[in-house]
Amino acid sequence: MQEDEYTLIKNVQTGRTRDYEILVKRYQGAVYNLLLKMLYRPEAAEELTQEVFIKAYENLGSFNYKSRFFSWIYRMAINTAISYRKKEKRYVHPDKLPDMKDNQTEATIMVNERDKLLKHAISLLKENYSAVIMLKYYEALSYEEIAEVLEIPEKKVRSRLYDARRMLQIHLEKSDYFK
Amino acid sequence: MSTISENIHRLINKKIDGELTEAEARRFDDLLSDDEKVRTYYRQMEMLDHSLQEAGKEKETADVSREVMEYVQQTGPDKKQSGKVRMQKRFLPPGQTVLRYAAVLIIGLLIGAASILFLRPETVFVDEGDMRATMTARSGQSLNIRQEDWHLQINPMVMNEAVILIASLQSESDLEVHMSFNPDIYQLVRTKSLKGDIERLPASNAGSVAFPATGDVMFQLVMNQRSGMTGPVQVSLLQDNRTIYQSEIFID
Repeated sequence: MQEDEYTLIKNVQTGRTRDYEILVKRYQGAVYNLLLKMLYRPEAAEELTQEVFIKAYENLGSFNYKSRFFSWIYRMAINTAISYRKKEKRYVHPDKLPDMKDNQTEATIMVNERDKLLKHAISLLKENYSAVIMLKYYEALSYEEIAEVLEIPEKKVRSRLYDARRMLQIHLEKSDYFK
Repeated sequence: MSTISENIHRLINKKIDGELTEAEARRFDDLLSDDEKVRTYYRQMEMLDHSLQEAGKEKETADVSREVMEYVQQTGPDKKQSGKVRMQKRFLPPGQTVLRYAAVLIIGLLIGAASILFLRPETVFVDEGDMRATMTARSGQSLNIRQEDWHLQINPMVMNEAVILIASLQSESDLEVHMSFNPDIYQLVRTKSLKGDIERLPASNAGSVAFPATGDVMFQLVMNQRSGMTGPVQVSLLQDNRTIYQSEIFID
């Protein structure tokens, strides 16, 4: 996969730009999901996904072949989401997310409430902690891959994840999440 | 659950990630059978891990390939550059790179010096009649709301894990200032009156403070911020128990 991606990137760099579509199609779903989980706004997530891939194309000349394409594009997506949240202050607070359906059962409502509590707790974390949670749980990346995306040592990824879990546990315990 | 030590916390995290060595697994089992608090903490962490995994399973899709490729076709490849895609990075010979870095450094120093000498704090003004505002508390930013019979100014200072808000209010009528925040994130260290007669409040775990304020007053609010967490501080002005102004300050 990595060799194949390096070939695709080289092809794009030397003018075979249609190969870029293979990379976009391979990672657009993952990038969109990551942005959606960070911003809670489908339109903004879609718009930024497009922006991330355009930015990546424009900067493909600086791709150094030391990291993998996915970690490079994820890093770009995380930074884009962080700047968007800081600049726009427009992300929807999880408490204000619309309920999915009108005819929800009591059990579904409880699950949705718990889901909102969890999302709210994640939204209170600083970006360097929430990014680790997103990459570990939402993108199912290994510690090694998270370290590559965030450009930090694997040991630091572990300690950030442990701290993030503790912060979430403290917050959720006070919200009666575990009862 | 704050009595759980760092070592046990690490052990539980390793257990959740399936990374315990045999010796650690034995120690973990002993701890679990001996200590009710550890059992509860482990159960909660396991539940949290499970919930996060479930949340991660929700996947949405979006197809942006058409729009991206349209852009790519419009901008690349630049035929004038031997059929290669125009890339943003330009490689410079080593001598030129050093000169460029030196130029950037000098410009940076000049901008830094200019900002110390000439720049004033950025102020967030609120239109007359607009009774809500949000601001992000960064160094050198202030919230400034001037109405016909009152003027409120808040200057936040954000340091490592401490937040200091200095608020001044000039009012012709009797008002009450309310500030509220999430007590899981911020702990009130103290309030101090800098001008006027405002009662000093000691450290507390309550999520709000309130002062009656008339005339020209200034006070300082010092809070500890829990490491790694952030949340807004809500500021409200009340007149005869009626909210006449509200704003949210995001600590960045």
